[in-house]
Amino acid sequence: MDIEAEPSLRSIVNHESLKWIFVGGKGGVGKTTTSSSISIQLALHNPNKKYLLISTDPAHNLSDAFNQKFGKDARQVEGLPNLSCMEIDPDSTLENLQKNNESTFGGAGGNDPLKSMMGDITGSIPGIDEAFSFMEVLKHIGETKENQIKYDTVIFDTAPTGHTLRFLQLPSTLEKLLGKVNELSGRFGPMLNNLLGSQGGQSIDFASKIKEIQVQVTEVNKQFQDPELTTFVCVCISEFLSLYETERLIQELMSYNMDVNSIVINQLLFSDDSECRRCNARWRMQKKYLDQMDELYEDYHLVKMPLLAMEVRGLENLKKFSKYLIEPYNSETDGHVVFDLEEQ
Amino acid sequence: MDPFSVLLTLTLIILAQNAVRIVGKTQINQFIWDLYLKYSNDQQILKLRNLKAESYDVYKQRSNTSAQDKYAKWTKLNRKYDQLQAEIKTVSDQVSLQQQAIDKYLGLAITVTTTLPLWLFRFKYRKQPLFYFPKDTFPSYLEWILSFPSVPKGSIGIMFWVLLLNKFVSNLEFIVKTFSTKVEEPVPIVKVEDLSPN
Repeated sequence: MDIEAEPSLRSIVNHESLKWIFVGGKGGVGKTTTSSSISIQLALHNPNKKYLLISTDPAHNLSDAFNQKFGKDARQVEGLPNLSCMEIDPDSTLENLQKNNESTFGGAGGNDPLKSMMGDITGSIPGIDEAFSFMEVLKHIGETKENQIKYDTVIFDTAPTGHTLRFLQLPSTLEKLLGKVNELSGRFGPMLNNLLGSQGGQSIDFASKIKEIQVQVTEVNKQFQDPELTTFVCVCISEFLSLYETERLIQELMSYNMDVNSIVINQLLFSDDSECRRCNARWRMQKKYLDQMDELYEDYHLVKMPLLAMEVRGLENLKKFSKYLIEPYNSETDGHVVFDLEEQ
Repeated sequence: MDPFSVLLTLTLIILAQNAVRIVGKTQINQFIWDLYLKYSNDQQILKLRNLKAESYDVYKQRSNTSAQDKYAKWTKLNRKYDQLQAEIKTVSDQVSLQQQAIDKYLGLAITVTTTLPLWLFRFKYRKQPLFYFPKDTFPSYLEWILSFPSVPKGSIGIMFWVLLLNKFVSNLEFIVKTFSTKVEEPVPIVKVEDLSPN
């Protein structure tokens, strides 16, 4: 077996310099279970480091996963002090942002048409919504209330819609926009200055505002495109559509230059010879796709996780389940875990 | 040249001019460009042709592979197809620069070849009577008008012949177009009072 592509996430857990981990995949494939499991394993393996698990899914899935109430502010997980969770509602964040932006880019007052025009332009750049909400999230992480906790690694449970990372295309768009704005303000600036009279001096602000955004986004993207700092873990199940979506997701991430090296395949039956004929038949189908994936994703860590008899909820159950992300699941010796989960 | 040859050549030139006008410059440009793409030995275009052939090949292979049964093979073909399409796009962009240049020169060439001969003829044969009417076909003043520019009375010169032929061709075009386009039967108008609730 090639050591490079062992079927485990051990390399991620041992990767000292990783700051950002994204966990994503389309459909109910077990993203939250996987992201929670990764966070727990990281916290258990490195008790001296602090970890933050963030979910942007409005469905409050982290609270359900840990059986503990989380909110907009980071809260420690009961029983695992170096792991904290945060659930941000991206829509309300965005509303706050738009209100803030209106004060900088105007529009509400109506007396400065240029400002509302700039607001319109910035609102229509593809990915700008995602970028703003993301930057708000990042700011939020940085400015926790009392203790100013600095997290060593942040794990993102990305929302099912998947376009959260579209803003990674943003730098080139912003550069073009900045170029245009500079060009326009160069041509029309003097004329506008004359027209607006005393307010004319503010027209230069737009270029600098956009430049400010551009600097922020470039900095964020630099971090996200560095494989030593950021990685993406894809989650899927062993069925055709999920695999197809995973392939598309990987191609998209590669176009953003984001590092992807691990795929977690959930809900596997491992039922070679059970009394349940349906399980045997389904497992045969899953195996068919698993073999195809082994051939297709030779250089990736393909982690195979079992389908348990119950939902994996609560810290203790997650601990039991997450073990198999590091030590590959063996259906003969580890079969007990399927029925081993405690009722919560 | 004897009058009959002048008449014949002139008629052919005018018909050719009208043909080019009816077909349209863009169509002609497109046709020539397609020929060029097909037979040119330019390096970029050869590359484009090879890429397109390869891409079509991969496409056929992929269509013949079942995605469910041979997922790995299908996905690999899919990746190759996407990669080839991306390459085709970049080479196409480069080739389109050539296309613009060719279109420009072709347009110029067509304009020149359709207008120049006629002007040369008008100049050279401005006094040439093309044919004579039988005596007393038209009253005297009409004969004078028809022979207006500089041909002897009782004959037709280049100016009117060109006018005549152009008008004839456009009328013919109009008739053909009118009878070849399909017109929908009009829907009968129903009075509001007649629309009873049942």
